[in-house]
Amino acid sequence: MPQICFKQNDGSSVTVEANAGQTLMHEAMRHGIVGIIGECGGSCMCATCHIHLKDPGKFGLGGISEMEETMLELEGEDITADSRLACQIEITPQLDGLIVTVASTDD
Amino acid sequence: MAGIIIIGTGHAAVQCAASLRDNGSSSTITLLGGETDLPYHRPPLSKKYAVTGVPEEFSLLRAADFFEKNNIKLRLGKSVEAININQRCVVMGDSEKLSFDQLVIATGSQPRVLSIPGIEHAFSLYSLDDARTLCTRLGCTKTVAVIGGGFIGLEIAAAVAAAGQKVTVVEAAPQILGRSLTPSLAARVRKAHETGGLKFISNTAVDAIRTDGVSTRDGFIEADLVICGAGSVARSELAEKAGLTTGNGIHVNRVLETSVPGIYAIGDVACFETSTGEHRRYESVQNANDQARALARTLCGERTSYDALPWFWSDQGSIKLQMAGDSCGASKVVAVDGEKAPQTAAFCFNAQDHLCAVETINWPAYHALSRKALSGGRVITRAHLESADYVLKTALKS
Repeated sequence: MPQICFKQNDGSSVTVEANAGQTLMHEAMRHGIVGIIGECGGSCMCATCHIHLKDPGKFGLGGISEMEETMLELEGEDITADSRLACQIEITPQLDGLIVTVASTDD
Repeated sequence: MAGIIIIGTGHAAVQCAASLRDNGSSSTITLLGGETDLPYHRPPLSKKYAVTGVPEEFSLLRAADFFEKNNIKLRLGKSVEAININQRCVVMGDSEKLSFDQLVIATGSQPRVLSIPGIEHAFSLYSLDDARTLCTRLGCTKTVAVIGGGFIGLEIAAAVAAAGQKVTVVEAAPQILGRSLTPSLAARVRKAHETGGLKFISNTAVDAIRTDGVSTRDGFIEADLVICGAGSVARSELAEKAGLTTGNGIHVNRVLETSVPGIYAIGDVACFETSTGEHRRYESVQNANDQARALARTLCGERTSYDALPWFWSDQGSIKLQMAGDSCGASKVVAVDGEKAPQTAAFCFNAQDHLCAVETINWPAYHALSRKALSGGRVITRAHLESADYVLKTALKS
């Protein structure tokens, strides 16, 4: 199982054993990562699973879809070039060692 | 201090408890619900779980240890039998009484039960347990009849058809999605479903349900299984019995308070007063969460009127429907086709020719932009959109 490290807003880090086939959002929520709400359950209708990813290409992750990009633009705060929605990223064994930074929010 | 009691364990109830803690509430918070599963996301039931089965790790609203960590008492499998307004307490099934300072009713909605002979042979989908039962039953069927061409009915129908079964949707009204979608869009949805293999019989009421199918005035439709998806009704019986003002849900004012001070209602069960003085009841995840957040602020001392833009979605096989705003009362609709059918955006205008809602099929970018266009008190006129050729990105820039 790939190990994925989540950096939370308070500066703490949590490393979890993630299940391949699930989404990054699902696994983050299952492990109670603070700041990943997943309000719409993974339908790309909100941006409450907003994260920042370093070097997504290195882990074999593809580009961002138009749907994901527009939702981030609409709802996201703290948007940067490495912003993604965790619900749109499927976990594969290739993601072992991935570092995910939870985006900061006001509420 | 008796604290805050929340009746319900769905989206609104859980979000309210979470937001109360986020806002610094130190009250005792108790969630009471009749179901025994940990609070879960409901949309996947009809869109997925009823057909694929309920996975062991189904989508939880919060991690399993969230409630304990946040000092929220979660009492599952505990049904509330009555609300006693004078004694400010709720009475449980085992006669236990729990006192409250404030009460939040978030009991949601449940499938409408049609008064048709043989209705006991039909399945409906409300809970995770229903999805488990339905999935088991679908394992030994080949033909399915779905009564009702609304969102839930079509979501189940599309999922069952995608699994290779023969599905007939029987709708009493002349067209499917009549109460929820602009007619031109509803027609496109139907056509796309027909291409995908769904069969529709509209303008036809079901007279009786049998174990081998349904009978209508136009004939008998054979089916190994009959699923009823004919809309939902607010679960407002507790409130009615307690004497709160109800009628298509529990009536609440702009701060989501019922006719009795200190008792509130949020989510599917709440029929709330809008900024224009009308009453609305929405069945949606957005409405549940946003009302929960507004109420949590009020309960923490910052009186907050609920005034969020409604949005909604429905995944039906390869069709993704997304709606922003309220098209109820729209006097003009302009539908714009996308590049690949059935991709469409329908722009709905009110009597003043101001944009009031946008409904889209398979066009998420337009949905996101329309949410932006409709929020923050912005007024977009039909003339303005026309001058931008209904390209929302252009319209929003100028």
